[in-house]
Formats: sequence, C-alpha cells, structure tokens
Amino acid sequence: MTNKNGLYIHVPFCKSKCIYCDFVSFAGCEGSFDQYTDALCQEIASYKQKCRDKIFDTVYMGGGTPSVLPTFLIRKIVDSAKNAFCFDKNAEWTIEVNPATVDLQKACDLFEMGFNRVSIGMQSADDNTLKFLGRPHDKNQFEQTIQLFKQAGFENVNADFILGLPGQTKNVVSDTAKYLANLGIKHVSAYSLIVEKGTPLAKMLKQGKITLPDDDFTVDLYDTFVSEVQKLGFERYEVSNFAKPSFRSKHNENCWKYQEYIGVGLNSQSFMFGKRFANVKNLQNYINKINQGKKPVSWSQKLSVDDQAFEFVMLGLRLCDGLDTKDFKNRFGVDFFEKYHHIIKRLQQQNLVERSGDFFKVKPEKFYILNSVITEFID
Amino acid sequence: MAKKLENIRNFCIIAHIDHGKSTLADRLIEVTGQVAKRDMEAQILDSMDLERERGITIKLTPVRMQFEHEGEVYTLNLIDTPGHVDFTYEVSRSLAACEGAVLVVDASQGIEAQTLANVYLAIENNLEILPVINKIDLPSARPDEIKQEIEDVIGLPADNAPLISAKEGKNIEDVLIDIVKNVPPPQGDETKPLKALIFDCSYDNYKGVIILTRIVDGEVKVGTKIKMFQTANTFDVTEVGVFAPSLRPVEKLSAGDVGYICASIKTVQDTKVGDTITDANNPCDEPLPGYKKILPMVYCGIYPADGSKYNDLKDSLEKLQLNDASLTYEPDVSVALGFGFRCGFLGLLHMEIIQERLEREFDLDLVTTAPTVSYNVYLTNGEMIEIDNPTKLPPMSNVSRIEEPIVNAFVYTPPEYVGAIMDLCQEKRGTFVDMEYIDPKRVKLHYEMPLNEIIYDFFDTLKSRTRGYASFDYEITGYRPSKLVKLDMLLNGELCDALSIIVHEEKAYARGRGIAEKLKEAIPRQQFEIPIQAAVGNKVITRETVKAMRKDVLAKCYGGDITRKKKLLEKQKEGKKRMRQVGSVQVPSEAFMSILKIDDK
Repeated sequence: MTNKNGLYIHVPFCKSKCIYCDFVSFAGCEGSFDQYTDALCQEIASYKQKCRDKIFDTVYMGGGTPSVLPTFLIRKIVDSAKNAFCFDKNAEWTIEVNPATVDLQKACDLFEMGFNRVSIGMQSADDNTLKFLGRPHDKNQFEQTIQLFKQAGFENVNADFILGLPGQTKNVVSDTAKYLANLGIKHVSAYSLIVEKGTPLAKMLKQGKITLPDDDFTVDLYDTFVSEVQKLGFERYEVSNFAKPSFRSKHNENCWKYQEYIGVGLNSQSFMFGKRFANVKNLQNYINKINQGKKPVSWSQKLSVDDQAFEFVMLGLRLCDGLDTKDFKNRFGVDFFEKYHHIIKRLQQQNLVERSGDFFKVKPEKFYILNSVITEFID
Repeated sequence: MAKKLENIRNFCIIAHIDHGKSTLADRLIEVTGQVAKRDMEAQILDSMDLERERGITIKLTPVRMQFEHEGEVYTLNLIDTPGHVDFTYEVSRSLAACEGAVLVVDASQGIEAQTLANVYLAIENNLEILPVINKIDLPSARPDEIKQEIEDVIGLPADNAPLISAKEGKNIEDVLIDIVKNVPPPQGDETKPLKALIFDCSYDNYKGVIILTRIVDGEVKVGTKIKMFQTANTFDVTEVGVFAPSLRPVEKLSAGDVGYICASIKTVQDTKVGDTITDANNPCDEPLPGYKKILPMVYCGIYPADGSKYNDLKDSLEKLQLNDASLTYEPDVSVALGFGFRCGFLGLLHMEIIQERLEREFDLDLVTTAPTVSYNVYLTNGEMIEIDNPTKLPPMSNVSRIEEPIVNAFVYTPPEYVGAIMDLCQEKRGTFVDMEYIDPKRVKLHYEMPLNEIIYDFFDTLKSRTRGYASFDYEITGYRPSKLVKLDMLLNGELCDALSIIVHEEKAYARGRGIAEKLKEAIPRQQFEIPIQAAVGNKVITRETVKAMRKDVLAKCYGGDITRKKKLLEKQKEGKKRMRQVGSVQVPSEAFMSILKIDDK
C-alpha cells in the first residue's frame, strides 16, 4: 500500500472573476451547481476500484472558490470522496475560501465534515488594490472570515498574497507581513503577479492604462517580504510558500516531493499510474461525458524514466530543503550525483548549488534564478 | 527547322523592375506556342521562388521560339538578363550574345534609371534597340509623351514602337514582327573553327554543368572535343540542345545559334562566364573580347546557428557554387561563432540572395557577420596584404596605411530629393563629382564614395529618404588611402571577434555606440553584470551594461501547473541552446544579426 497520495477536487465557480485570473472558473453559474456536483461525485466514485490499495493523506478542494457551493453540495462531494478513497486518519483536508462567502454555521459545518485547513484568498490588504483586482471583498471581510474559521475550530489557516501589484511599495509589503502574523495566520503563499494572456489585466497593460513594477523592483518587494515574514517566525520552505513550524501544506509538499495525486473535476490534472493526465476544460462537455459513462479525460501522457527524473528534479529543487537524493535512488535506481555528475559540477563552479547530507539544493541566495538551474538538467 | 542565319533572331528584353519584362516574355512564349497555356505558370523565366517573389532575375533562362511571318519561319532566341547592378558583368555577357534588345517602357511611368544603365550597356554592345510601350491598358497611360521621352532621353526613334499590354495579351504579335524586321540576323561562319561565347551556366545532377552558349562561328555536336580559352581545359561534348523552354537535345549547334552544351563538366569553375569555347582539334586564333575575371566585392562570415550543422552548411555552399561561379567561400573559424565560412559576393543583393537560398532551400539557420569590403593594407615592412576579414587586420603598429575601394556612385532621382540625397552621400563620406539634369524630371548625381559606406545601409536609407524614387548604380574605380580603424566589441572584457568591423575613424564612436545599444537589447540578463564596450585599439570609446538577472522564478507551481511549467522550461532551454559562448557571456545568435541594421542617429 502506498500511503502518500493526494486528492485534488476542483470547483470551477466564483462569485466574480478577478482581472488577473485565467483559471477554469466561472462566475454566475449557480444554475450548474447541482449538475456539476453530481458529475463530480460520479467521477470520484469511478476511482474506487483503481485506488483501492492507496491511502490518501491529503485532500485539497480548490477552484475557483469552493466555498460558493452551498453546504449540502460540499457535503455531498466530501461524502462521495470518503466512500471512494481510503484516507489516513490524520489526513490534511484543505478547502479554499474567499472572504464573504462563508458564515459561522458554514465554517462549523466544514470543520465537522473533516476539513482541518483553510486557505483564504486575501491577495492584498489594501481596499483600493482589492477593488482594482476585481476581488469581491474588502480587507475587513477578510479579517471577519478568519475570525469565523478560528471560532469554528480551524487552527491551520493560510492566506494568499500577490506581490508586484501596481503601487505596491516595500512598506506596504512589510506591513502586510506583520498584519498577517498578527492575525494568527500559520501559512502564507506569496506569488508574484503573472500577467496571463487574454485576461483583463493583460488588456489594461497593453492599452497602457496601468503599469506594473519592473522585475527588479518586484524582486526587491519579494526580498522585503521574505525577510519580514522570516523575522515573524515563518519558515520559507518552498519558492513561494511560508509556514510556521509544523504548518507546511502537506498536500503541496507531496506534489513537490513527487508523490502521486488524483485530480477530479473540471480541467483538473492527475499524476498517477506512471502518467500525467488532465480532464476536459469545458463545463458542459465534462458533465456530458460523465453522464454518458465516459472518462472526462482530455489528454494523457505516459512519462518515460527520463521525464520522471527531470520532473523529480524540477519539483524537488523548488523546496528549500532541496531534493532527496536517497528517494531519487530508490525511484530510479541510479545515484543522483553520478547521473548528473557534469551538470552538478558546472553548477557548483557557478556557486549555485550545495549538498547537505542526502539533500541537494539551490543556495538560498540563488533561489531567484532557480529556473536557470533547473534548465541545466534538460539535455 | 530554320537553319539559315537570316532566319535567326537573338534578342533580350530590357526593362525596369515591374515594368513587365517577365509578363511580356511569358506572352511571347505563349503566342509562339512553346508552352501549352495550361502549363503556363506566371513568369516562366524566373524559375527560382526567390526570383518570383522579388520580381528579379538571378539565373538566366533562354528560350527558343518559332515564329512564322510572311511565309518564313524564324527562330527567335530570347536571352534573359539579370536585373541588378550586382550583376552588370553578367548582363554585359548576355547582351553580347544578342543582336537586339526589346526595351520595355511603362506607358505611365516612363524610363527609369536602372533601365537606362542597361540601355547604355546594350548600345555599347552594338545592339539594335526596339522600344515597346507596355501597360497601355492603364488609365494613366500616356504613350505619346513616353515616345517623346524615349527620343529625348535615349535618342531613339520611337514613333513605330508597338503599344502593348503584356498583361492582357494585346498587340504581342507586333513585338514579334518588330523583332523579325528590325533585329539584325546574326553574322557568323559555320565553316570557320568553333568560336562560342559562354554567357551563363547551371548545374544538373545528371548532366553536370550545362553551358549556356551563343555560337559565333563554326559548329559543335556530340563528340566534339571542346577547349576553354581561360582554363585551357578540354572536354568531350555529350549533348547539345536548345531551350524550348525546357532542354531539348539537337544534332548540332552552329554559327548564330543559342543553346546549351553538356560535356560531363564537374564544376562551374571550369566554365567562366564570358569565356570562349573552341574546338580543341581545330581551335580559332583568338578568343572573343570582353572576358573579365569576376572578383567578389563584398564579404561576410556565414556560420550555422547550430554549430553541429557545419557540414550541412558546407554541403549547401558547395551545391550553390555549382550554379554560381561568382560565389566564393573558404573555411573560417571564429572564437565566438565556431566553424563557418568567409564568403565573397558580387554585391549586397548577391549576398542576401545566397543567405536566403541557404536558409530556404537548405533549411539552415544562419548567423552572418557584418558585410565588409576588401582592403589593401600596407605594412610597415613595405608588404601589402588584402584584408576582407576585420579579425585578420594586423595590429595598427604594423600598418603604415590602409586603402579602401572607391566607387563611382550614380544616383538617379526626381529633383525634389536632390537635397536629401546630397546629405546622405555626405554622411557616407561621398565626394561630389557632378550633377546633371537628364530631363526636367530626372537628375543624375555622381559621387565618389567608399564602397565600405555603400554596403552599410546605404541602399535602404536612400530608398527611405526618397520614398523609393531614387535608384542607384555604382562601379569600382580604385583604391584610396583612408583613416580606417578596427572597432572591437568587448563583452565582459572579452573580445568578441565576430563583432569586429573596420570603420572610418570619424564613424567609430557612432557605430560603436549603436552596436553596444543593440547588443544591450539582444543579450538577455545573466547571473552577473555584463559590460558591453566598444574599443578602438586599446581605447574604450563607449559602454553599455546588461544588468545582472535577479529573477527568473517567483511564480507558483502546484499539481495543476507541472506540465505547463515543464514546457516553459524546455522552451527556455531551447533558447539557451541557440546561444553562443563569448568568454563567460551567453550571446543569442540573434544578437549577431541585430547589429547589421543600425540607425546611426
């Protein structure tokens, strides 16, 4: 039995669409909630046989905004998951919520269903910025939501924060770090803003309506944030993730440590049975396929040993601890340092990497150019 | 088949670009029934894709046509001519194979400068010139004025010039009748020893070199042992034939004929354009006049963008040279670009054509270095060396002087652009010689100018400053001492040999700054700061800096992002692979190309 498997459940609905978002999520689709939930539950059930010898130790319900679903539908999904998969009794159950989508009753219900970690999309602690981003909430509502979840019994709370926004200064960033620590948040995911093609944000930029801080300044902001949250007792354990001791996100950590996961729901991706595969992107298509008893999979890729080894490196090096070379040897039967001897030597000469026991990692001060390091491992 | 000399007419067509030369040729072929209409592909003569796209002729394709007039069957040989200043010598050789030239003039635009140059060339070769006025179907056509213009400018009577529309096939027969009546039949004597002019050649995988020839005296057939005057090499003829328009073997070619000869010749180096062919067993006394050895005028380095493609590049150049004796190349090694070739060309267009053919026909990605001319470098020890590669220039302490090639440049323009052109020629170190009104609407400016300046962005600037109205022609006149220096580019303190150029002292700063700015844009940020310096000798004259890269990853990557992320990284890696290592600096191939076009301002 393998006991480090993840389950990702996608809920593609939001109250409104943010200007930077290119995820598969829809606003104003309340009419589809029931149908989608039914399809999702059927897809979950379809894994029962295939996964009967696997124990899942993490569940992550993301989106979209899963909390826009009414409690009874969330419960339906959770019940079908519990029926189909075997969960570790200490499993981490995360649900993503947006401020102002949950009341105390709902928070309590979620806790009672088994969720023990909540990830809240704050993105910014400034009301004007939230408005600009098209977020359907303000700072005050974010604080209220945190209080609700605490009252309901959630200790493990994450907040998402975007760096590199227009008008953001170093002061704003370090104030935000303090603000989050004061609220008792245990985990922060901090991303630099990525302008995705086709989003309203990309259009505004192209039309010259807004300007974004340049790369150099974004790095400065990031530096400021990292040093501030570290002072406040957060540990940086991955490129863009920070946690109080023992509050790392198990679900995501498993993914970086190359553990397998199943993704269910619209457009979700899976990594299991030696391949990667993904579900269709079109909502109606997804529902139709399931109703016709077909797999909703749109593509699937069998991974060669070399593919897998590269992915292992690509993901493992995102962790501050680096990649586990013992695990590498177990999986691929070759010694990591031997296999990549020349590459490692070159990287060492450039002072980019270091070895620490069984782990191989990018030096913390070179973390910004991680991609340059990783690309060396592509032949 | 008409064999009498009186029934042969050898002619060419002279026309300005897009005045309808190829269309007229197509019509003539069609009317004389050489090609079934359904097989007609527009512009049959221009067989290379590149030629069709650019509307210029690079390789010659003669066509033999049969035309019946007043009960007599005539053989008309149309000999095509290349249409660009780079190929003036080739034009003169194909003109030498003709007795007449059809001058196509656009009924609304009149005579253009480039046409004029070729008309004069034709007159020099004693050709009968037959003006034809084309595009009379256009509403803006003004045939009477154009007739007058032809008489005024060239001094040719144009009253009886056929008025045609090649596009609509109107009055094409008039042109054919005009040719029969007014182009003199070839002179020559079948009984004399063989004397034939090579006016072009091409290469065929099965037949070897195909010589395009005009027989002046005597005859040639399968089995004749032919001898080349210039190389003194002999070959046994395996096939002779005519162009109909594809190759059609005939029993023999004799005085007055235009056709082809195959003799199992392995390389075009043995068949020099302008050379004379004779019978090895019964040679003529003297070769035909006018042969010149073709020398390259412009040089550049050509390297494969992917270093492992060196042998592909070598094979491709070999194949191109089979068809193009004027292309020269020799292996060269650059510290920055690795193994490649130093290539010589007739001119800038020739260079562009070769580069484009390498990329298109042979599917190669190339990195080319800035074009340069050949300098005469006089050393302090009295020796003179020819330098066509900046990296080969000896240290200035060993150089007593450098001489650069000078050209007579003629710019033909409507009067309103004279000021702009004078400014440009001044900037390009030109010396004014003369200005002449050809007619009230056309001025001919004569400057003496270093070729070095012409190969650097002169033509494009001329076109843009005159909205395309000016045209331009040049001929090399000689060498002249000049204050030239070698401008080097340093990346992170390391000399990048592929970026060195030879420039006039006064231009060094502007060029150096321009190149440094371009490189700054083209070189991606790396893990350390990269100073880009331009230096003359040991003196740094300008500097730019590529700042160190600080960020290439701050984005998230979760379970749903992995495939996308992987693709992104693979793409980044592909970009890296196309980089060249200059010392510690990674330089993308595009960077070497980006400096080829720089605005001096």
